[in-house]
Amino acid sequence: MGKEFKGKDIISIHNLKRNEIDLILNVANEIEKNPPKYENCLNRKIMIPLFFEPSTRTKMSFQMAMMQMGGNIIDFNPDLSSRKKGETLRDTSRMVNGYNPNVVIIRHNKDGSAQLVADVISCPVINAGDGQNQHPTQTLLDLYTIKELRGKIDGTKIIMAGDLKYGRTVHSLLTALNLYKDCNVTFISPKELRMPSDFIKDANNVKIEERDLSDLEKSLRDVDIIYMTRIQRERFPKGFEGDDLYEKISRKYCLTLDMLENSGNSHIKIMHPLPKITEVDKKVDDSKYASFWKQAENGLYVRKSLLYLVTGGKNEE
Amino acid sequence: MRNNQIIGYIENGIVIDHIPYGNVWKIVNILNIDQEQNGRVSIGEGYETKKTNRKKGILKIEHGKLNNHQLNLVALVAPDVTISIIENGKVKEKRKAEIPEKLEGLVYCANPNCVTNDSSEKEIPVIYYKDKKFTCHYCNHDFSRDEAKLI
Repeated sequence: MGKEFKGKDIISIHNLKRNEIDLILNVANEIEKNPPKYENCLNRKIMIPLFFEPSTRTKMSFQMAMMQMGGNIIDFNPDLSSRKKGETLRDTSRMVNGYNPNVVIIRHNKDGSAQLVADVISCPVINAGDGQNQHPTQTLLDLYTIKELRGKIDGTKIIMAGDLKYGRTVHSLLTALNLYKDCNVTFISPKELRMPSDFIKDANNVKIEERDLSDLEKSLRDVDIIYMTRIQRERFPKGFEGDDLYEKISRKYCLTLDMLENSGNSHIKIMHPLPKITEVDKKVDDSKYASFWKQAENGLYVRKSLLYLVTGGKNEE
Repeated sequence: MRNNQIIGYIENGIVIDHIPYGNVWKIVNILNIDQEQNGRVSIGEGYETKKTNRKKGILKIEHGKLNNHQLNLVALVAPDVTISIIENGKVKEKRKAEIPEKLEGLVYCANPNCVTNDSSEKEIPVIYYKDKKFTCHYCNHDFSRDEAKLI
């Protein structure tokens, strides 16, 4: 299954066609349902995670995925490496390539760093987030969660709320939904953090509506999913004025259990790329509406699927 | 007297004509003309074109030749110029400067957070040009010619 994926780099959601995404999600589902079948499929395969930036979920789930499928991991700590002596990313990558790993995972704070590493390294490279640019495995796990919740991705009605201007996850998710049929996306954000027009223009296959933050509560009635994102303080001007604006917006932007209960939509689910701060009330965490914990768990299956496919792993049929 | 005869006649060399007004000095600078190898260099600015009534600049370089790199640079500053190669007082060839499909080390990526803009990485930017749009090979950021800064 998925032989065409062997050796492929996963750098951007833009490089994936719908049938490729569907295959990744189907394999992820197969792995989730049959863990023993895949527990040795990456035997003798070695992953090098080049994480130049902090990461909780992404790094841990890649490591768990590799280990639960019988693979090995070489740890890399940028603070204890030659990077401290000023080695360039290109040189570090060239050195890593010489050790012949089977797969390399890269997270870096600069846009385009994943492509740079993929150009140098001959084995498959998976982008685990390059600056503000791309984080394709997050988008894939978002799609996997949507499919799990609804049975299919076509026809999804979803609210994207919060920081739509700078939020990498919502940009990529919108791009991916554009590959599917009859999706409806409602954007709800403060006017300072609206979805950039370029992304809206490119998503010409998606029915889009924009609403103000004050419409959050009444918008819950007609959708399958609300995708919440965090509003980051650093996106506002420095100083008192920025503090005030941030406080004002973040106080208004909070999804509560009451809002969900009063929406009249008992099927609505909440997704969130995490970490969440104040935008989702704590009382929601253990409610039937919260899908973000399972969403984070799904990262494990999607990353297992990618590791299996790009390294050409062999399962026990 | 014709516009292109106002500034120095050349027997052999090149004439870069139809330079948008205000850009002639930019082209002089980026070509970094070697005065020992070339003859007289004539610079004209502010001539009116008959077709459009707009002002333009003209640059004549006696015994001048442009290599591909220089042609690419001219195209980046002023893509609509006409370059005439003059031999024995006659136009031997006329050509348009064209921005190449792949630019390596010629323009910066317009995305300030691109890895190629991090001086510690010492990366050479690789930019693609298609449909009047520049796209960074690394971060995939799209930008216009107005945003493209020459290296």
